[in-house]
Amino acid sequence: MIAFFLVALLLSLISGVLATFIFLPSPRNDLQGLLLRLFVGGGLGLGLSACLYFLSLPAGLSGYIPLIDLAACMALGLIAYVFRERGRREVECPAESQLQDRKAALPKTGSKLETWIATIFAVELLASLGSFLVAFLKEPHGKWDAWLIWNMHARFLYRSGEAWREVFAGGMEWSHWDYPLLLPLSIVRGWKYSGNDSIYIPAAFALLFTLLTLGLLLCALMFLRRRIQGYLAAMILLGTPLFIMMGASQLADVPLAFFMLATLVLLFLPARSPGNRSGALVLSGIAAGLCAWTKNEGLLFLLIVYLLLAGARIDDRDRTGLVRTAAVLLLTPAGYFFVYVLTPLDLGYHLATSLNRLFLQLWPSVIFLFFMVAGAPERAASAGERPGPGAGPGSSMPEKRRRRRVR
Amino acid sequence: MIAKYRATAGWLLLVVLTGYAVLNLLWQNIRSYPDLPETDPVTIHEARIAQLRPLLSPSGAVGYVTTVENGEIFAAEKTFANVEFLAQYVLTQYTLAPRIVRNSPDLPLVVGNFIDGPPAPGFLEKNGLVLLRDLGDGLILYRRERKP
Repeated sequence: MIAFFLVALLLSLISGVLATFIFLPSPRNDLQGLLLRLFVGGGLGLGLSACLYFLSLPAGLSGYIPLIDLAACMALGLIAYVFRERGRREVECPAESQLQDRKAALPKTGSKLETWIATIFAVELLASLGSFLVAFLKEPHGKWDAWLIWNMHARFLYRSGEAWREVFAGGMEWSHWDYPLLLPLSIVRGWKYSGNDSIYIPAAFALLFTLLTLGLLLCALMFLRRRIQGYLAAMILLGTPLFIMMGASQLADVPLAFFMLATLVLLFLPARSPGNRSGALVLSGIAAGLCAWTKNEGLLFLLIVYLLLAGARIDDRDRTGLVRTAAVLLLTPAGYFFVYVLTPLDLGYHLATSLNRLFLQLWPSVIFLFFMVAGAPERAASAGERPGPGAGPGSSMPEKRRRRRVR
Repeated sequence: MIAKYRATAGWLLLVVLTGYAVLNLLWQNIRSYPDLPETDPVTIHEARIAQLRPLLSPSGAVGYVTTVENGEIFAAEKTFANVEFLAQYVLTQYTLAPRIVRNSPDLPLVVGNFIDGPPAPGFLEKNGLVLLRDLGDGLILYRRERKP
């Protein structure tokens, strides 16, 4: 049983790592680069496997998920191989690689101080694993929200079989069936592979995402800065007791933290890969999308990342309109606030029965305003290809001048 | 020279603080370990409710009644007055999934979860609930005979 679950994890891991090889091709990888691939790819692989499982549900193919995973993994392997061969040819006529051989650029490693810090980190890691284990033994089903929401959803989806749709219309609003399904479907996938709904699978995912988050922070800083900074940052995370306790609680907050961190880490890679800027941005976008697929808060994060990637583009002609629209959209909820406070109705009842509709009324206008400010994706992508100061979101000035000249 | 000592003091402080936080958490966990019950409350509740599974169809909905009126289960939790009744209801649903446990006595089969004591006198009669099976420890399966 455990072996089958490990196969599920391995397929996700390989798929994710292959995706990093496709989007971040590199003929030469140092240890830090490979570790970064492993942690970024491992988490993305888990998220993408949950997406694949979700797609297999309406198609009635969830019973064949091991075959589908294997096929996806092989397809990604083939694509990665083709990309690698193409990359090799480019190396023959030298081009800059995505994850370059950075050994020369790195400071000397293996100093006495670094060895000490690494040893202390290892001790802290073991102590934290001990804390995680005790927390699991204390609450093997996780904390309140784990069995009220995430593990409950996983149980319903697993045990309902082909009738999985019915639960969404089951009238169990108290269990928040509007929440995204990355974590429940990852658990269901693990149960499908292992053949039963053991309580160890949700706990294993909790441990996995905790370690992935820690490992990603460690390796990203090792790759982007110095090894010692990676260790110190990871130690700060381990020294945040809430991180370990929330990880062991089997909630979706640590997986969300992982995808948020992965999104941000990947945003640092385009500047270090002049040959292929868009690949890292694509992976970053996928990670941001997985944030939204993990928790509703991730939707806000995704929108902000989108704005950042696409850049802000405010046309001079629209400036007045934008200010007025923004003012209306901010003042209207402020007015609603006073209406709620001043009316004699029970506040809880009043909010519960009307607030969502008030937000819905404003929502199309908010989306309109968002896209009036956001730059067009094509523009951002072409900016990504172009090295230099004009590539980032802060490049609106030259663009503005150019538009003025055209007018 | 000062910058060097400052950097050393910086990482030393960081190591000491994180080390203290990590080891303190472990110590707290180890200290609480002997006081842990042999089985956690969720597992105990699950084992108790699981006795109902063979008596119910593998899918569909069942009703639910407990010591307090159904309307009070969520109301008590919202005012933080008592989360116990909601926890018992949620764990009943958690155990019996994919059957849907409705917070209502208006279904042909109704689960009675009276771990915290019997319901108010006349509640079962008012809702037309007739005992079908008493599984002990406050867990009873009812059949609904008539509409109130």
